Amino acid sequence: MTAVSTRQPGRLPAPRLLLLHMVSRRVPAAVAALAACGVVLRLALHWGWIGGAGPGAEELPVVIEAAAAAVIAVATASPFGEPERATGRWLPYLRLADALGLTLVAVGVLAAGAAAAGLPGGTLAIARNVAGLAGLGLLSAAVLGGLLAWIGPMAYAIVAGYAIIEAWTTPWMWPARPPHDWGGALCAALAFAAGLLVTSVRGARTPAHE
Amino acid sequence: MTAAMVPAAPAARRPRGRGGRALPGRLLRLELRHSIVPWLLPLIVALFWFDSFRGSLGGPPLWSVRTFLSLGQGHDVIDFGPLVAGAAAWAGSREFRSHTTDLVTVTPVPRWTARLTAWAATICWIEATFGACIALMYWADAHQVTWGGPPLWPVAAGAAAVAAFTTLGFALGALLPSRFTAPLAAFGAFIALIVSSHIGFDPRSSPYAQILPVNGQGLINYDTGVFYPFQPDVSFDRLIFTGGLILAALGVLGLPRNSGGRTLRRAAAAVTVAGLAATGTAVGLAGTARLEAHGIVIPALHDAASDRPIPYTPVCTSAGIPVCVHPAYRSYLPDVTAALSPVLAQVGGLPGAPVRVTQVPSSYLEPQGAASITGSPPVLRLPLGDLGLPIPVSDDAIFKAQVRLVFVHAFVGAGQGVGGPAQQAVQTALLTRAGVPLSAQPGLTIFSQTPAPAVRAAAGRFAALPAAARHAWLAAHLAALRSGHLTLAQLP
Repeated sequence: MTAVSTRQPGRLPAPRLLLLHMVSRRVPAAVAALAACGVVLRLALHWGWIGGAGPGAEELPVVIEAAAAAVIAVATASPFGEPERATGRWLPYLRLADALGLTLVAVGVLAAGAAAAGLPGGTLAIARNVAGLAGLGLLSAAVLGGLLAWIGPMAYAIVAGYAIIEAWTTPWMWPARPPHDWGGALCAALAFAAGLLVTSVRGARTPAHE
Repeated sequence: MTAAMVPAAPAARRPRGRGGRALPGRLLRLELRHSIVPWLLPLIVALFWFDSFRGSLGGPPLWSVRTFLSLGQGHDVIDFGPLVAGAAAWAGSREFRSHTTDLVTVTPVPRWTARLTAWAATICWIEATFGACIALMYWADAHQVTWGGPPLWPVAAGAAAVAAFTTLGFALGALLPSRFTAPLAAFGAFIALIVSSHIGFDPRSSPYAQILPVNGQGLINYDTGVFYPFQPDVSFDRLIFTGGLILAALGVLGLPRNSGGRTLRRAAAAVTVAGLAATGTAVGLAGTARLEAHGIVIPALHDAASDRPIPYTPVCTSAGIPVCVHPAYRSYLPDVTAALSPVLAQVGGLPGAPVRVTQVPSSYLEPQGAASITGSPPVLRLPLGDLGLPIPVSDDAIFKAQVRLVFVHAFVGAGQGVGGPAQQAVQTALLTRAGVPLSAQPGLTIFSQTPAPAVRAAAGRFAALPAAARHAWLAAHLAALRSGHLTLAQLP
């Protein structure tokens, strides 16, 4: 993988390099997990667990979106640890491509799962929530390490559940805001941009023993 | 061939001597020191404080209300379950992460024993934190609740549910280790809890849904633990269910070939079967659950002692006639007295008017039960727990209006419905004269609705009569009014 980048320093990484990087981050398994999130969303809509009057009707989509964000964040973990950082200059771009690509896949599969089923907020809310939560997950990866990065989206999803129930108005709780709300969208975009930037440049935190 | 394929019989032999005997304890101490759970505890405690703890402090000073959110609706499990499932999955997959699976397989301690030790350390941290959080919540509530004691069986059921999430997460991490296992366990638990909560709130849900740890249907109402004990049947059943799940998951951990010798694996299989049997039994028992006046009863687990009323000495004051409430509702007595005085003044001395007001327990079978005037001499039986008890307890206009409404509703004999047009008109008029404006009456309880124009007009005429004329008309027509035979045209 890294040999390719050192032999061709001036060119874009070859598809093979990108492919190997994706495999090292378990991207195929992550895509399968994201597809499972889409299926769960579809089933939840089908069985009326979303959009009704009972508890969880509004929180469940956020939890599923947070699960997708957790998958994106966990996929940042490197199996090579510290040595990988010294192996060429394409690594930040490869990380960026991974995170961006998985986020797009997540939005796509969740939108497909919600298609024609009347998810409150629609695709716009899915895109905003997934992007923001993925940003938090990526920031968690930078702080806690890739394998523990799921904690960030999970904690946020729990608090967001209360924000939805108690109708908080802060834009930092974007799942509680209407889908066309600019403040919520801006905060989610900021979180996503910060997560992408930090994780692309620095990568997920590598535990000392690795 | 890896070391995992080495026959496990030698590994089943424990080291002898003093060090060997002390090994499980030493292992447990090591696991306790190296567990990831303490690092997650601040987050879990913060969530518990944010949700269950804050929610318990805001209600009326009754144990049933204070614990309904956390223990009745299972918010304690929601606060702990997802994160502990993820943390336990992380702990269970430790050997996979550190690439030491083969290395530890050939150690003298059987793999099952080692895994159970790691599981025990995880459980110790989590249950100690759970116990401390509940104790702190009860301690804070005990300063405000003035009567009775907190329910303990729901705490045991909650602790068992948290242990079950921990164990299932640990087993998932140990048996299917990957980087996605911990988030899968955590979010799987979270989604399961939300769906369980959703099902639990559906009044049409099957009795089997009682097995779900966050199903609050029929578990606690205001007078649970006040007039009669908390019904522990559902908690017992959930304990059996979660205990079975824990046993089954622990047994499964000992089934792989590298877990230990043949004897150990047979024991693991027996534990798995016993756990599954307990789980199935609990689900079967949940199917027999039925709602009774004091909560949900499961006949096979029911103890008749929990149906006996709790003895108490009422607290009384006077609003022209004695007004008595349960000592747990002592703080509401001034409001109840102040609320009843204007309506009692209008009907005092009438034949059939109550000579005493006494609080009766609310019933699960009548979620918003009506007050009634029965007996000789007549006594108003007031299910105070069915009203929206205000917080803080003093000087709440809506509460007072509700008390007046249920009194007048019982006085005109409207029973469990809204009553006939004449009864509605007299009820509306008496309430208006007692200081509850017509605009504020609809929606106070299920017994008051927006009156029809004809009812409103009749009520206006009746309310406009002088007090003495109203009193005289009621003295002459109260029996007919209560029987429902009067029409609007017969009102003055």
